[in-house]
Amino acid sequence: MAVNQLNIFVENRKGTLSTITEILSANAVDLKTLVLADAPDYGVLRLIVSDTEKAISVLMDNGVIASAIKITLARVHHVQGGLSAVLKLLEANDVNIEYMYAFVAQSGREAYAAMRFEDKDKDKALQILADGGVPLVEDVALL
Amino acid sequence: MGRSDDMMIVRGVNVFPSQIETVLIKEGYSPNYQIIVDRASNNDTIDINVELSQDQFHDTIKEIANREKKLEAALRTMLGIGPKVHLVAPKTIARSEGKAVRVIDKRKLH
Repeated sequence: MAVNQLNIFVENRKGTLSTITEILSANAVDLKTLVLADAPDYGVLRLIVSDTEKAISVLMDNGVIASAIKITLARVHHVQGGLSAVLKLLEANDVNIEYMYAFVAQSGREAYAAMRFEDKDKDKALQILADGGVPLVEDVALL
Repeated sequence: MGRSDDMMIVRGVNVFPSQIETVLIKEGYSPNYQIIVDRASNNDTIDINVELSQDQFHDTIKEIANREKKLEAALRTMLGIGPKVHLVAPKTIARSEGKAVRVIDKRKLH
């Protein structure tokens, strides 16, 4: 009940991001989502891509540090309060979100919330979402 | 301890680059590093650029920062002075033997 997220270490230096997107593009890896978390000296680029394994392999061949992690991708209604309903469910059950991001589906009617839970909370979170009838996405090709 | 001509004196403490290398290997980082010694408000500062390794990478900034702090603590214990660590991408620090490239001393001591 999870999708792969690609994590890339990016040094805070001119041209780092474009080098990464160039490597991925040259190897026909399609980006579905992109979020950059930044610290003063560096950042962590978090992507959902068409082929995570291939992306890691070509990035590492080019000396870029990359890893994969499973994240939970929930489908929420793209209406006022759609995301709030899901978050309230988690809060009521004392589950913390380590970080998250959200985006609207191409149809415009639905949205997706990508959530990274702390390892100790992960199983509990999945159970709560399932019990609460929140649909989880497993195939990124659908995005 | 390394060759005596590699030694620096920072805040009155003898620092050997080989000590830094020992800590980096022990903590799971690449032994390629660059030391920048400078002087701010009449105090020596020591910054060390360290190449991040695949093993020490994490998807959360919080965990990378924790590991960075752990490395700084290990270096402080070994050296007797507290350096500031800066993580950089792999293979971005010039590969070379000797003091010239490893150590950049910006102090102007006249």
